[in-house]
Amino acid sequence: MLRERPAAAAARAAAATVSGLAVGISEVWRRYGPVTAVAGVSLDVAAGEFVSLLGPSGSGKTTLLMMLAGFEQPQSGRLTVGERDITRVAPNKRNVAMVFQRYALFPHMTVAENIAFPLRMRRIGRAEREARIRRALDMVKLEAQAGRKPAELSGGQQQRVALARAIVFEPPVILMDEPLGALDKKLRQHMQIELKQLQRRLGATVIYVTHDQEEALTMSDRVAVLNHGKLVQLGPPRALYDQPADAFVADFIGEMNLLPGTVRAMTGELCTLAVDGGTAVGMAASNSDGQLASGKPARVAVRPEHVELVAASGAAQDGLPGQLAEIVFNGATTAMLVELAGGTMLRADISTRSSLAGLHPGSPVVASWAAGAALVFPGAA
Amino acid sequence: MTDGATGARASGGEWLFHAICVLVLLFLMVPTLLIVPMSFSATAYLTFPPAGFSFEWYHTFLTDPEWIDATLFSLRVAALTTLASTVVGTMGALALVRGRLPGRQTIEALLLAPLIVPPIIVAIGVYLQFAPLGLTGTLPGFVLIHTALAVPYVVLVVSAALQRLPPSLEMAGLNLGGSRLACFRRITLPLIAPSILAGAVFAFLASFDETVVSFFISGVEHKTVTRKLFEDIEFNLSPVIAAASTVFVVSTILMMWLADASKKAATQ
Ligand SMILES: Nc1ncnc2c1ncn2[C@@H]1O[C@H](COP(=O)(O)OP(=O)(O)OP(=O)(O)O)[C@@H](O)[C@H]1O
Ligand SMILES: [Mg+2]
Repeated sequence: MLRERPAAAAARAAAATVSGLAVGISEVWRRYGPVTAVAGVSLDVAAGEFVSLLGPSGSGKTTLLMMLAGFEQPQSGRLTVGERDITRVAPNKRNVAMVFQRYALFPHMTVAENIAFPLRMRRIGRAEREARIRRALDMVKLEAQAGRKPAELSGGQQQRVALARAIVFEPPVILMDEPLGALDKKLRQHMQIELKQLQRRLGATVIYVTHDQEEALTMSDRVAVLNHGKLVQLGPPRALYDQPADAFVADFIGEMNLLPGTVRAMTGELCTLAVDGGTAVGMAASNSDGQLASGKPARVAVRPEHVELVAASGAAQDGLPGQLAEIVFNGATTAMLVELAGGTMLRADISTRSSLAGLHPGSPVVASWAAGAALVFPGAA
Repeated sequence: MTDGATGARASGGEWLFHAICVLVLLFLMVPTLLIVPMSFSATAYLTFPPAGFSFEWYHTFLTDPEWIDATLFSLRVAALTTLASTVVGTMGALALVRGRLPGRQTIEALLLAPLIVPPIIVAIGVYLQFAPLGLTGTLPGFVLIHTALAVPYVVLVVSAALQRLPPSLEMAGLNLGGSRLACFRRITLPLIAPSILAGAVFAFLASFDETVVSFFISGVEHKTVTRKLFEDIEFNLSPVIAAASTVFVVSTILMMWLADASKKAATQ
């Protein structure tokens, strides 16, 4: 049984790749009175893919997941799993597993009974059932705890039981709503890795809800960023980080300096702006078509690691003059917080090894960056 | 020892509070406790303090056909009432807590009405309804009205349990492929069973102890033990009343303790 496992997993993964599309969400809307929880979201998830739904509180992540699980109904739009339209299918007929935030383990059943539940509901025979439970327990490393009740397990172990219960019936897709939200930071990071490894090994398709952007970036093949019910950007983590579609994504993913200003000149894609204390440059964001005319309000977005600092020499220097306000040691990098002439704060992350000797809070500095490292988004804050 | 320590720290206000609590408890319990020595009296009528000692009145209670009939009838009514009100009350609680009922608050208020309306009002109303239907003095009549009176207790206890149960458990059950019925049977029911049992005990006692309505609708043949107690107080006043009461008080305490223990086991 155990020796067969990698082969079986590989076969499943292959089958998944062949079948292609695992989950289809098209033009889905859900309103609650005046609140639009999900506004026309379309999203295709390939088999074997790990997709995160990322967004601030109230952006519609849970609502979208609940519609996939069948506990909420979309007012319009279509949901499919594989070739099957599940838009109006009852939750217990969907064959879509869900891992709840607080695990929702059945407190009166042992770990093994919890995992057996979906198999019993599918009337899977005893021998097969026991074999599958053993395999699932082995996969989440809980063989020794099979006879315990959920209350006798640690948070991380409960999380793993919930996972085993979800994978044991080999659903075509697993939905997770902030499954690690209840764990402390250290355990959460450990479980992120474990969960990711398990997902790869099974070739499982996962739709994962989180409002923790770091978690989304480390675990996902692709991230769907939601804001006010709308899908604002969908792409691999690196693409979201390097080419955010708008100022919201730029600000939400990773650390970002967003300086408000006014467009001075456009030279091709190169945009020059008047900002607090001087002139800044950046590349026009890809979907800013025509909105960056001279005199229009705009924001320039630049990552702290792309900001260069030099001590002010008194002579004319290119860049934004300011005063070093604070130095925050973060391990490998050191964050330098600069107060620009008009009071705006700018963060520069400098490698701790090269950290500028002789600079201390109060030192006059000049901040600059390569035009290609910054993006300019139209509109005021 | 520890009591002394806390006592030493207790303020005068606390002492007064404890003293009042003890007095109130005594005030409530003494009348009931007085019954016990009176039931062992050797005299032919109720006296206090009791004179002599005998088990005679227990013997009478357990052998007199009238007392036996009334007790058995009360037990039968209470058993059927328990069954009916537990089923109805549990379903009602499910609908109120988990369902999306329109006018839920109105239904809740109506359900609890029997707890608020004075029993004598209920009794007169029920008598006027039952008499023309020939339901007075019959087993179905008693079970019907006692069920109506007992359902609120079950609804209250079971609703509280359902409200404590996270809905995500039932959602997880559905998500894992269980039908609504399977989820109820395997998840909800086992988890609220102790509260259902507690509700059943309350329902049983509500029926067995019920006096006012039973007084009105008892017949010559079918009377409850509460009605029989009333009649004997009026005409005989023999210590058998005290003996019967003692038996009932002791069994009531036992049942309450059972209900409490099962609820405690559930919350652990
Ligand atoms: N049953 C409901 N009734 C009314 N409004 C609702 C309901 N469910 C969700 N909403 C609203 O829909 C919006 C989206 O909610 P949702 O729970 O999907 O957000 P979320 O992204 O999961 O947030 P969080 O990160 O806080 O969990 C919110 O404004 C919320 O108030
Ligand atoms: Mg949520």
